Amino acid sequence: MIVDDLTILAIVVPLIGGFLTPLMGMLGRKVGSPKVRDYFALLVSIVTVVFMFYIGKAVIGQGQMLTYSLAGRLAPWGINLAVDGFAFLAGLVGSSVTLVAVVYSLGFMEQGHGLDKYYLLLLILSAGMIGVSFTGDIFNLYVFFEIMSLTSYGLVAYYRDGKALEGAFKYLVIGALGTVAILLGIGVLYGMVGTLNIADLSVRLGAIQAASGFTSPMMFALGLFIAGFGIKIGMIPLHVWLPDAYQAAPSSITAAFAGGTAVVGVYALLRSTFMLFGAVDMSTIFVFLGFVSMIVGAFMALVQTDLKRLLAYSGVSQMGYILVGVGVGGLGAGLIGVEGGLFHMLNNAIYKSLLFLCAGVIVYKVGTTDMDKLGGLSSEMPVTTLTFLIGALAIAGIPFFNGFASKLQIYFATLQVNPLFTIISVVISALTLAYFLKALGEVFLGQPTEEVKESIAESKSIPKKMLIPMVFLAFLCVLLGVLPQLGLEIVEPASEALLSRVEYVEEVLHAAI
Amino acid sequence: MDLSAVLQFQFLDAYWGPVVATFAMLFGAFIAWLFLKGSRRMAPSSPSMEKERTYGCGEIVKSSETQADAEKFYSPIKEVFGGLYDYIRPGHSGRLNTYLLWVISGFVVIMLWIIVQLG
Repeated sequence: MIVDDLTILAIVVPLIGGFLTPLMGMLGRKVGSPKVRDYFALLVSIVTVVFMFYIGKAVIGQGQMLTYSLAGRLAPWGINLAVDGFAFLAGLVGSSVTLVAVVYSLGFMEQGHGLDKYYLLLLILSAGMIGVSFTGDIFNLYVFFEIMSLTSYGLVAYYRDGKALEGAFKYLVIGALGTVAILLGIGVLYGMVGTLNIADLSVRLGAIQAASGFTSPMMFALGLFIAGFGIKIGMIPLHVWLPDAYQAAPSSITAAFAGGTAVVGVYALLRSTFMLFGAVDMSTIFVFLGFVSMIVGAFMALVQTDLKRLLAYSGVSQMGYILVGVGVGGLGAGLIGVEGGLFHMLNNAIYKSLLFLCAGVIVYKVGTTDMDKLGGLSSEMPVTTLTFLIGALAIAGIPFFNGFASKLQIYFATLQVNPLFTIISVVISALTLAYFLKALGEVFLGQPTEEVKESIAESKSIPKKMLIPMVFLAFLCVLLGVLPQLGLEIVEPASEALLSRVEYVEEVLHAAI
Repeated sequence: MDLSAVLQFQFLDAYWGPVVATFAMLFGAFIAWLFLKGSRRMAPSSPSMEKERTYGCGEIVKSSETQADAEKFYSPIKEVFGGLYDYIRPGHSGRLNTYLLWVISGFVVIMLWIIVQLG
């Protein structure tokens, strides 16, 4: 088997594995061991990450771009997969976050119902995320994006109570608007140039752009793409579904959303806009929307009384940093801005997943994330307190932790474009620290109330399967803070790939010659 | 992966040395810990029941009453930025039609921006 084949296997294995999970559940119940299903899901997730490791060895280690033609039909006539550094980064994050969510779920969902469907949806979500990252065909990207979205709606509704159904319904309606916008955008482009291959689209749209400038249909398609993918990443003003859905979903799933689908959404947004419409033209709008998201997200997080809603709004704010980083890259800061943005995307996936997993432990022990009902948990949950503290310091951009390294890059990049951008970014970081100090104080410090003491006394001890992923993610926050170069080893090829429109086209279409 | 590149001491063209900074901070923390340890040796802490209880104006306060209200935690900031909150909070009411209005208005803003910038 050659390494190119692993790109399709990384999608097919979680997809088929997902559909086999209910069968494993039935089999397990028959033999009196229902855990077979859970460990099967774990095995599938591990195998997918192992594939990623080998893909990474080729893409990052040897600087290759992997291509795979489905049914032997070469691009641009057939559907193909194209994995460069940027696609690998998104795929790696998607598959790793799924593995973290599955390990955590082994403990968190121990007493859950309908776990056949839960693991089925989680693994198909993983296949969707990797599919979006690896595909070289814009219509396939839409299909995988829809797979990712549909499974997300189901997972948000998992608890099937009023809040979960409401959150899922809102997410479905708004998410469907987003995917319709993407489909419409693809339709407009297909009508213009008659191809769906991303590399071929890039060539043909580039030719139109060179001859007639940025035409009205192209502007319309660009707006549809930014709005469609912007909904998934929770970019303001398209973020409204996010707090409700994040609050309602199981914490393991929220971690997968915050760390996985959001990253894949950013990937899809940047890949489609940079490849199809050119990098420089997008920069001002990304900077504008990035700052709006950064500021409004932080101010909304500051006044939240529910921990998961606070984390959701902080995610909106951090998404702003990513967009600003990438945006200023095109406004004169160059590679350092794009690198900072993508490094922050990687770091955000790590600490945001960690923080949502910590929220899940609080739900597991106390049964609520309402900060007014919590307090004094540090004595009862020292590991959760420590990991939450690490996650909070990382997201606030405190030295030692990974968030600092990527924010520092973004500060340097913004400084080269406009010092006012740097000042705003630093002030919002201070606000981030402020609302996380509030969360720490409200949830972990002080004296626990009688209700909290009772809930903790009645609950079971926290399973190690929940703590291990949290400790691992906290370790990564410190490791990438002390040795940021380790993260940049993956981020640098991703940044170069994002900006290398010509190389992408040559690699993909060269296979057709 | 090149291990020497990963373990290099400089980041961002030598503006930031994360490894050196980490050790410097850990060293600073160690010195602070030594000061704390030394001060406790000179003046050992002797917590009495009165010291351990939470006091508010001389009255013993219940643990539930010591918890700050999450809504009012940053009320000065909310007062200063009252205009911003007056504008953005009604839009987060939880009503789906309001949310749809956000999305549609967001799309209009994006389209207008594109037309102005690229048109």
